[in-house]
Amino acid sequence: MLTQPRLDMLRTTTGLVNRAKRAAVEKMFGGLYPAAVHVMSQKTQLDRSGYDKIHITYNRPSTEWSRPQMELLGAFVSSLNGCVF
Amino acid sequence: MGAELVDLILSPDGWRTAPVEPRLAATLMYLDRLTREPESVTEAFIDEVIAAGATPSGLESASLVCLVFSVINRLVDAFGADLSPVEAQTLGAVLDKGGSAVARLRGRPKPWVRYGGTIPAPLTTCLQEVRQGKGDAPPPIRAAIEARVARQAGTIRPEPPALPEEVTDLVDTIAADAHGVTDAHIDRLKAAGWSEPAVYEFVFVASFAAGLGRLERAIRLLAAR
Repeated sequence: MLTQPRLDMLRTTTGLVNRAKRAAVEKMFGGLYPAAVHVMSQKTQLDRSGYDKIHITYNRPSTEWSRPQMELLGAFVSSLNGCVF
Repeated sequence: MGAELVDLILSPDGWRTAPVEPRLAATLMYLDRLTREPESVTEAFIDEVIAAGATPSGLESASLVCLVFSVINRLVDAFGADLSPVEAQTLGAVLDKGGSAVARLRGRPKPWVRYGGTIPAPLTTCLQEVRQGKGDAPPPIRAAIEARVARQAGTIRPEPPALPEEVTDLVDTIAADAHGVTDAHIDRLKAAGWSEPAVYEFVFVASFAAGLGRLERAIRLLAAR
């Protein structure tokens, strides 16, 4: 979770649609709002949809690596970055 | 793979001695370099990891993982995230369940389609938006941040123009170690007159460039293999 958001815009969720999306995510994650979802859900005028689309490729099963192997590789990169996620 | 083996792989330098198949061991060696010292990933090093058991398409696929996590790690660290053990357990269980469900929905695994030296189209689109698109931060500043951080991530970009000092301080910290971002970085930007959405875009662009620079370098070196 974002325990100490450094921007005010990350402290509150405004708008009916955004609040509904957040509620759905929190329900899925047992009341938690994962930081990764939180920061990526934030909208500014910059169109980041191209980057969002790459996650579809990342999530697509491939013959190269199984899903658990992909998650292991991701966790490995996070550990090298000293990140808890 | 058992939990103990996963813990060993994720422990500092544990991956070097973990008893895993050669292809995975070689790919971990590759990811270690690409994540921590991207400029040291050279043609000779690629040949070394392939000789050790990695495959070019497996390395390309792993490079995409590196991009995704290089970006998200920096975003959450720069914006002030933490994860308690209880949260980690809950998220892990949900993601395991969700990942399996996504895999089922998306059907059978497909062969990896090689990039052939070209970055994927959605990333090209995002790069164009960063450089020229509408935004809360001025496009020339975003373009300069992207070039500065992508160069630090080991890829080729023209020398970017100088950035305001408060922006340089933030983006260089994100590029090197996003843990180092503090409230003082953000306060300094706000004091200089930057809006919160603009600061958000600075952080996103620096994080994106750190991931993209690594992927670009990898794709370029892997193209002929």
